[in-house]
Amino acid sequence: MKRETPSLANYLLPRLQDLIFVTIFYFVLRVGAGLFRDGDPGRHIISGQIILGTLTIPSKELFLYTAKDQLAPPYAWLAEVAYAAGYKALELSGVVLVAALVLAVTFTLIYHELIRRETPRLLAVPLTLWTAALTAIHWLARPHLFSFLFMALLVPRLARLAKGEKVPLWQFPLILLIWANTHTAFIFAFLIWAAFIAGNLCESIREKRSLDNGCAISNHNPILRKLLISAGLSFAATFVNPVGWRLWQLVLEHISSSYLANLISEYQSPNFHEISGWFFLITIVASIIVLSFSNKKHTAAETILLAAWTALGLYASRNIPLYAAVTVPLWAGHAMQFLDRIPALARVNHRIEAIEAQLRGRLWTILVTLVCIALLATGTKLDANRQGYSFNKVEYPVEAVDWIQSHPQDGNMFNYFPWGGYLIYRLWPRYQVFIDGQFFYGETLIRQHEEILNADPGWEDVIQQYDIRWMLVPADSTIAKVLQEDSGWLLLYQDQTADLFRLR
Amino acid sequence: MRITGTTNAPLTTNASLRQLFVIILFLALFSMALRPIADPDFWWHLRTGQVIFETRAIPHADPFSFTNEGKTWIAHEWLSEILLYGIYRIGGYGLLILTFAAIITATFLLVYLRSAERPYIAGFALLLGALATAPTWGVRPQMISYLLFALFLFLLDRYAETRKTKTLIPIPILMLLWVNLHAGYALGFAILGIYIAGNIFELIKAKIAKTGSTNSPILKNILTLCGILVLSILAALANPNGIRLLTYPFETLSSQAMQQNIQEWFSPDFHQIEWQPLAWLILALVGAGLLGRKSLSPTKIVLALVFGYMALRSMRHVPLFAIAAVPVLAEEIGCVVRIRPQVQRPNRLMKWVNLLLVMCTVLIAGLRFVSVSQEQVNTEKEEFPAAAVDWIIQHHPAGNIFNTYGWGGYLIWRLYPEYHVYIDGRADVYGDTFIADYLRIEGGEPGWEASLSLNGVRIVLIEPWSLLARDLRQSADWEIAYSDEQSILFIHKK
Repeated sequence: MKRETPSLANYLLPRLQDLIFVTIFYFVLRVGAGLFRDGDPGRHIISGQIILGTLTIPSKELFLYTAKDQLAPPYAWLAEVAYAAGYKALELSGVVLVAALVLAVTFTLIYHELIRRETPRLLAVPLTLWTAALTAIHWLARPHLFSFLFMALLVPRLARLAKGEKVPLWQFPLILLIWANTHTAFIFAFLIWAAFIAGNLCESIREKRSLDNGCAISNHNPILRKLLISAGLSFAATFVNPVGWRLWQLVLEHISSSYLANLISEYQSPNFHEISGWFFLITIVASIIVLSFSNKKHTAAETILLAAWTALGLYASRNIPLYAAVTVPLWAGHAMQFLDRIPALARVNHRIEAIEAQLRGRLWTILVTLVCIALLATGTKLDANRQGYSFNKVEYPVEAVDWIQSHPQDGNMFNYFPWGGYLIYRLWPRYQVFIDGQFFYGETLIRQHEEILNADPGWEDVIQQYDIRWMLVPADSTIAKVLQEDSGWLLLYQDQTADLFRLR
Repeated sequence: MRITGTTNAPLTTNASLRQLFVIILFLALFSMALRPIADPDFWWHLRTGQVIFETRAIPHADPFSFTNEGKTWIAHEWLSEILLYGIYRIGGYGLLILTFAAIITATFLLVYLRSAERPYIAGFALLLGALATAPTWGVRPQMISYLLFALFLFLLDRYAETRKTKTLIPIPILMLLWVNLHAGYALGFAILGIYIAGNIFELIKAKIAKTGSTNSPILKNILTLCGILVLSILAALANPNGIRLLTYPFETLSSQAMQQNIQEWFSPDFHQIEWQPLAWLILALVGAGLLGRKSLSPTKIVLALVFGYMALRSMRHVPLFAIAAVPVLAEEIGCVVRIRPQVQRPNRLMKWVNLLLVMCTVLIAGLRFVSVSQEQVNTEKEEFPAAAVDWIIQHHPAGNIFNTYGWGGYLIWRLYPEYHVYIDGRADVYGDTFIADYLRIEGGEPGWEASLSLNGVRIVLIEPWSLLARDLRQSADWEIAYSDEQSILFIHKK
């Protein structure tokens, strides 16, 4: 049979996956200023710059005078290097560019997984965009964006392995090796493994294939054996990081702190009065409806994953993006049968699939990426407001820091913790901060921060303990109000965002 | 007893054990529902009941606050309030605690009767549902609303099973009661709407499947339910506020101040141990639903989803979700795990053991009641400014009181009519703007002195740790008249 040669149009026309990539990529560039609505990117950029500059990975605290020389696990050093490289090339535009590429690749992978699971293209496109919208609550220029990407890489591979398909086992430890050096959410990978292993055991029991003992199961259940081997190798790979086993220790200590979980907003349960909560709720409802009415068999692992990730999403809103990346492909594949019941839509879908099968082009993905990089490099502002990317003046003490730079202050500072990363970005190494958003220095310092910020009894003792000479605090904070009436403190600078007080 | 999968050997159990299980389950639920009165709104409900009882008139204007005195007030719970006051007059706090524990138990009894797989699987699902709702239990009119909600579902489920119209006859009569007991009556319309929608869905499904012969009974059901809905709407008009009460529940739901500042309207916080059972209930529904693959009726699914959404949005709606979802969960679990009874006659010894167990459970419930009744005095002291109010009663300071939102109801009960409050739990009376102003004063924001002065406030009764207390301590115009761990009372010097 003669093979048909693709025409030029086949190379020029974009495929749906190219459209997904381009849409997400360009959208992130448009809303890129929002990636800096958190102060932490500042710290990550500076950390990455230090690593790039010195070619060493510091494992001790450099930015907080209150935790000087304490162990500070470089849990995200690879992501920091990526952001710093972007920053070095194009300043904050480069950081946004890195984030846009990571997110665009992530959702292209999710789209691929939807298609692999036989989701009709007519649904796969809106579902991918819906998943992106669900994760958008946590689009910040921080290392966790890479976790979305690794999750999108890991879950399809594990799903294929669990189905008995051939997947090279070396891929798993490689993913985990990079992930463990990029972001702490790598520990969730083992939850995914646990679900697939438990699912496999459930299926074995259900099908009466389980044998008398664990050894026998491992011998006669090649899928389980592969799951266990891949998990074991990947677990070992996570120890290959600058601080070895202590990374696990610090991460587990961090996530088990109920004080932190109750203090930090992103660790709190979703608020269903807000639009982001609605997105989550609609997704839960859609997953239940689709799977309840589906005639297609779903595995025990899928059920466990869906239930476990729904619970994690309900527990902490920061888990919702990972919930989306893991669960949407699980149930989307069941939607084909519903589309088949509507012949007109099924016909449109088949037509799209037929056209897609002929297309060969990657042109649009490459072209749009290169054009955007070129535009940013020439100083073109691609954000929606055409103002360029920056930290928000209302949220961050941008003008106060300008003032500090022209009016240097001596002695230790006290700062509001969400501003820590931004202050490091602007003022390090001339100044070290009291606290920032990393929380690896333990609860005590955070409690002391809260004590001062709320002017709780004993706040003056903390001031004395750390020999604090000046404070940069939100204008509407309790401590700002107290200090204004305290003759021992002098208000040096004030704007709508921040007050700067100095001890007389 | 052995629990097995559907294909395994039957289980051995006996009828007496099943009865024992049910009795102990509900006695345990009753014991759980016995709890001291700690709801801040309880007190103004009690006072309102007393006012209605003594004046033989239902108030239509606010009699309790000096800030909104005379403003329109829809006393939508007037019948509950008379009931509360009547029970209080007869048997004090003890009888109120007992009555509301009985109401909560009756609610769950109705849920149990709607559930399949009785007694064990239904009992387990019921217990999970009860644990999920336990944080909302208390002596409050809302409990009556939950009972009526459960009763509506019970009657509608019965109708769905038997197709006997007489099953639905009590619904408009119950609506007449409900509309005068609590503003949650609107839930009755929502349930009827969902059952009608479910039947319409069945009708469409039958049409698509071209089983025309079966359409007629479904159509009859739809018409019957629509008729009951119309009668219920007419019945709902029979209240002291007439048609105005029909829009009232929606005004409450759309109040930003209530949604953003009143805790029970917040989404449940799954970091709190008390809300963990709700998470388990949701997970059990998802997990058992997917594993069991039971084909559920659209009505049941929609009920679970609608009230699931409401529960995730506001913790005060969690009981509605549990009441709607427990039968669904029992049915789903029944597809995964099956317990097959084998009836055996209990021997004489077992009969005595069972009796002893029941008596022990009754004894435990009795002891719990005694303990809760005795705890009430301490609860009042711990939750409300009881000692500070004693001081006011003793010293009669002059002037208006600025008080914490949550204590307004208690002050109404203890100090009205001699003193009127600044604010209390009737957020609908005060409105969003007033509540926002109150929060600014309580937060010690600039201008609080002027706001207090404008309202003639000479007494401030607030929590010692509040920001306003900090400012008042530093102010030369105010002095501390009384303070304890619970509250601090400031009096204006001039």
